[in-house]
Amino acid sequence: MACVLVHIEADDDQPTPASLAALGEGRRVATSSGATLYACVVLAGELPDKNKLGHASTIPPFGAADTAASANEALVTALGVHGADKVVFVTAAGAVRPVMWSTVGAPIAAACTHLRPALVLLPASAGSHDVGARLATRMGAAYVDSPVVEQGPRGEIVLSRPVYGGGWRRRTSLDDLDRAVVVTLPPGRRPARGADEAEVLLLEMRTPGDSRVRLIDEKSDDGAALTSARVVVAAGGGVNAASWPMVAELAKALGGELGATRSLCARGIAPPTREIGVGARHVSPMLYVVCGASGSAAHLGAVSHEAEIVAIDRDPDAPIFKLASYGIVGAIEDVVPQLLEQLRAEAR
Amino acid sequence: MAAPAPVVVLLRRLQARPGAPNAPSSNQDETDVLGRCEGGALAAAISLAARLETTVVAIAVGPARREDRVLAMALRAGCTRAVRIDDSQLGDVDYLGLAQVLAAAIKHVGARTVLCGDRSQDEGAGAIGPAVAELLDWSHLTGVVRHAVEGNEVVVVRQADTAHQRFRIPLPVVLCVTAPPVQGPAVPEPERKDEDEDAPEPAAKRARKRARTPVPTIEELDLADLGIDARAVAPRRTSAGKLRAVRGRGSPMMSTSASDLVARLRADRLLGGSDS
Repeated sequence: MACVLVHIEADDDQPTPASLAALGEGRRVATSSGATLYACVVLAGELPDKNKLGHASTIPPFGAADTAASANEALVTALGVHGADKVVFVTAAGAVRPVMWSTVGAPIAAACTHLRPALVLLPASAGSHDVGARLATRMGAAYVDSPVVEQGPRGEIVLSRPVYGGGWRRRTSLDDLDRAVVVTLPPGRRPARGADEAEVLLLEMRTPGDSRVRLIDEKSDDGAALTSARVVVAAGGGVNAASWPMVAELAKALGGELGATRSLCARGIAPPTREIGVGARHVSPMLYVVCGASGSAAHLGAVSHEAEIVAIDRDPDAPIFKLASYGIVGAIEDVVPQLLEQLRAEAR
Repeated sequence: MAAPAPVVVLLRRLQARPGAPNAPSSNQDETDVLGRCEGGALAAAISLAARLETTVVAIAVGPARREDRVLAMALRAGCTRAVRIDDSQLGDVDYLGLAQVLAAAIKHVGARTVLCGDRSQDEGAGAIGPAVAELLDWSHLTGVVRHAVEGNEVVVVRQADTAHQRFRIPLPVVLCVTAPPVQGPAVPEPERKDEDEDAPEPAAKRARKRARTPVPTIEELDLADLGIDARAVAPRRTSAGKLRAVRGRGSPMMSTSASDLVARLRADRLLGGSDS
């Protein structure tokens, strides 16, 4: 494998945590396969004339993209420290926010056409979900969504993802493929540490996005905190209006966010913005405490398979216990107050 | 004047495990047959078509024993036409092979608006909508939670990581729809005495009218009908990945008390950074 490319999303000249995690995954793959790791950043607009480096067919030599580097010094430093061998700035003709296919897709695709990566990694984000499959289609590449990246028995890179409610895994070995692969990574990957400063390249592509898609406005979402929470407490159909405040209190005591299944939202007990499930919020906590939910595929399909699940339910035969790492059988009204009391006692 | 282009909804029956279609939990409850997002796409397609004053075509790829139930359900829900593409030559083809077939079918029916689920509940990759849009060179949007029609454009709300974003997009477009918004407990509506003639028909009346209307049959197409050479799609099988059944996680560590559970979580370093 000659080249691994990671798309970097940035906020205020700093890569997002999900982008650094994707870069970390890219670093591990590149090191094990002897590939060069490119961090690809899409910049809006055009650069000053003296920095235009010709058409994309001529990647400038090291040092030729000085201004792009100095204008984005903090970003370049962060990417180098976190493992990038080379940072590629690609200029787009239009806006690059919000991150989605219509804004950044074509510039990333143009960079891929030029660099011909065998593996493209996209950070865990709604933008990557919008970009990933379409980028793969344009490249004629394979596409794998939210896999665990593993090493196979021969040292080969294997992408493995749970399907059919976690009862099956779909495994793709990169050695078996005769084409590139685009991967949208799941949340929760670890960043890596790089040894050297990254070399900076500039691709002056001026690739237009899809101007047909026009952003009108945006409103913040109350449920957004669920996506990045390290601890999530989720209430299911076994929770009622009386026990809902207890579960909310447990989430607070654990320093986590409060979520709910679709059935609880439909009963009007939990707000719809807190719904966790396929087609609603996807979460990737380290600890996922499930109170009174059966553990359907529609619910747990939206929970990272790396989350440690704690199940609390009155039914010892509830399917959730087959999927959980820890469990306790009992009524929510009994167990949750006891947990709260224990946590408070330890805090005193 | 030519009839307006139909709206297409791409459907696929939910599978409990590979090759095993999910059975509805009862004859009345078919929610387990379609995934949440596909259900949202079907509802959105019917509503969008009503606003665009056009028809809805449901398209599925797969054998009759699996997909006809979904297509019959779509017809009962208000789709005017159902098309199933036989997949006997497709086998375990990957997302792009499937998208090639669907893009050809969309051209075949002459649609300019396509809706599909944002992610299926079984495979869950969410690749088909964007891939179809690329092959058709149309705009697309994922994570669509709401939609409206304004003139010749659709206005859609997308759920992003931290915000709901509203976009305006001209046709043609592919919209990847999430689960329909949760409905709260039903609130009885006050009785209306003066019916507005322009008001939409009540659901029960619409259902009675549908029951009197003969249900169209499901049309079947094969790859040759769509001008697709099966040999061109077949190599895509290698990139679909191999399926393996996984053993369960095993029995969870069961605790007999809250203090025991907290102690186990602390021992495994799963509690921390809290105000406990």
